[in-house]
Amino acid sequence: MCTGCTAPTHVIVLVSGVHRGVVPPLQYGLSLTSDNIRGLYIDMDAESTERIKTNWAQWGSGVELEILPSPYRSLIRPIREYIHRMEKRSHDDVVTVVLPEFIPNRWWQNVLHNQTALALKTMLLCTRNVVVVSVPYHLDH
Amino acid sequence: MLGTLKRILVGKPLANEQLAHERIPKRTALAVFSSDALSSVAYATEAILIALMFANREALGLATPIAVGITLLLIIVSYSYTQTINAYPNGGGSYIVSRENLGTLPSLIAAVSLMTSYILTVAVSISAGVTAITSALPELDQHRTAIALVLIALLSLANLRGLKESGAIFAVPTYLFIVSMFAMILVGLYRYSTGTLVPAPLPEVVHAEFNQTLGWFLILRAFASGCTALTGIEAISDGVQAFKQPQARNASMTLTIMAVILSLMFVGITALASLYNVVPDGALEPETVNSQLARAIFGGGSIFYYVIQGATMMILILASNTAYADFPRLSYFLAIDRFLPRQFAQRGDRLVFSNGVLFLGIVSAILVVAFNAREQALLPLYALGVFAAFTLSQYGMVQRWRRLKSTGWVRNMIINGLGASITALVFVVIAVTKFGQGAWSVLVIIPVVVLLLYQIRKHYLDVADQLSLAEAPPPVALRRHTVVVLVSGVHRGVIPALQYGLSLTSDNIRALYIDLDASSTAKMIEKWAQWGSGVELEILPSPYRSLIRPIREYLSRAEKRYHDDVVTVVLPEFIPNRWWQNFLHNQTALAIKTMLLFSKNVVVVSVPYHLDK
Repeated sequence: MCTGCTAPTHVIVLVSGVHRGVVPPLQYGLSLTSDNIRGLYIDMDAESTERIKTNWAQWGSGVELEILPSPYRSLIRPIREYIHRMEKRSHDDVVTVVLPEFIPNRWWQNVLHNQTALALKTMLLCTRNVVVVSVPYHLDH
Repeated sequence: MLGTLKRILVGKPLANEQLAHERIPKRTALAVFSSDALSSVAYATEAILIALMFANREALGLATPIAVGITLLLIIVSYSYTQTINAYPNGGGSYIVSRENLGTLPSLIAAVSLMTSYILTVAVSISAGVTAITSALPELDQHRTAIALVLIALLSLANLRGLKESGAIFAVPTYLFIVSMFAMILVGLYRYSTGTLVPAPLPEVVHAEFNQTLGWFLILRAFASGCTALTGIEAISDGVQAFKQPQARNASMTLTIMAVILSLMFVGITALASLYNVVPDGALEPETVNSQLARAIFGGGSIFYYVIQGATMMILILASNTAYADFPRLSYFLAIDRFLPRQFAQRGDRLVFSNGVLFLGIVSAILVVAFNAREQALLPLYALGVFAAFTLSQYGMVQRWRRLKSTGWVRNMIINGLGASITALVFVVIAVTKFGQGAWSVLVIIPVVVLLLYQIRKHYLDVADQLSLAEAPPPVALRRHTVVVLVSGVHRGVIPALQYGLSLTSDNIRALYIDLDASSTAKMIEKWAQWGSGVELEILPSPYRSLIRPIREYLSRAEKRYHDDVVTVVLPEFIPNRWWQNFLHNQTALAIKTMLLFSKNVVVVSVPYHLDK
């Protein structure tokens, strides 16, 4: 049967920026593994990427931050390709993807935020050997 | 599957580097940006005549003087706008100009005015395009709304593919329209002056129901109606950045050419309509004034007649395309400033602001349905927003000259000041004379949307504030995991979830099962002993057969147990091999996940189990 096949051996924390919503997911990821963990950031514009790099040095808890290019402005595709590469390298080990999720205070406020997390979750769920961890961050107002 | 459909309809994604190439030369730009203004001759003359019809047949003679007056207004406003283009070579829409020179509130009023007028540009132009068809083929009139919706769908699609391509598709019709309109005016004047065509006399009573006395109010209302001819002339100053280098020079040349062509066509058609005694028919299925003229001059069955109607329809479609070029750009600027949802700032696969394109298409489609695709009914709503934006933009320029005091600033200020005062006056005239015909709704909508924009920005600032790490405590490592594995039975999908949970904590973990019927529960307990890896199984009663409620109550108890822990809920999820197979399974996992996201301090782990067939 299943011989401990789902132990979190590789952990990826998806990072959309350095802010309060990213700190708990990062700590959660670190509780799963202290060495085999990476932050993943998609480079959408050079300016923000520079800012992230600087702030990550302070708030990244020593976790390595990988920055992926996205020439076609898709968030999903670079992440999917990254996970596929990782899976191949690690021979079907389980990859845990930690996803920070904003929860607005009122439902209509969802309209004002990208529904990226939802699209990402759907994609990740359909990817084999991936476990998705949603760490919510509740906004107060 | 959805992805393939999108590829076919929209095309291959373009890379970021390809962005700079999406610029267009003057002759294409004239088609893309001027069609809105030029096409308004398709309905502006008729709008004047309809307003005058409320009086008596002598009043119709005022149409030409009114058109000349509007042309003067057009020249002043265009000239005023060339100054804007030169001052803002990177695009000086009313929003940008008033934001920079007048402040936030005026800029938002300008932006919302423009958004309403772009939406109406699509609704009016598409409806007028349909009327051009139904004037020639009256039997299509019953399908007018459907035709309009198909046209909006096609236009949206063309614009989702990208500006350059849609510009190329539409360049020919603009020139065909210009040539055919001038041909009609010249042949019409020639036949009139040589006496080869004697116009039918005016009917004794043009509109039996009305016959009001001709007063200032009616004249001003006719003038206000004709001002729809000016709609669209701001498009070029909004889109300077789409021109080839040198941008400002190319743009202001295009604007001048456009203003000249528009003036000649508008006065020409109005004069012709007066000479030929054309009266808008008040029927429910009206034939346009232009169609009546073309029919009289070239003959209803002639090829020229059909060319004119076809070209009119096509330039009106192109006119809507102007709004498709500008609305997404405006919503992008607003989204960057956080006044609109940030989705409007994202470039889609083809480097266009796809969400702006889609929004414009949907809202204008709703308007078309609401007004049965009748442009003359939509017109009273149209010009108001346009003139509000004109006024704010030019007043913004006045403030700019006053501030910068560059060479020739007094002269520039006078020109823009004249433009601003006149357009402000026209705004008031339109608001008063058209109020009862629908203009009131625009006067209500603009302030409401402005308030909404303020609320959106407030929300974004609140979020940024809450997320700021400025005074955040340093991160603390997680001390303890409390793990709850939700089990729906004992099967292959549960085992990996259980193993995953055990890898988080070996002692503080429980499996949770909801007791929905006694016999399944007994079977469950029996099997758990064999497969449960020693994890304690908690069985919760659910007297009301709800899965959600017992789980929620259990979690709030579990959360209180320790104060230094994180509660993790592990959720085994089936992933069917094909998407439609989802319908054969309860979407309980989805409902549970949604509930869990809204309960504070709970982390959700989805452990998928992929089914192979």
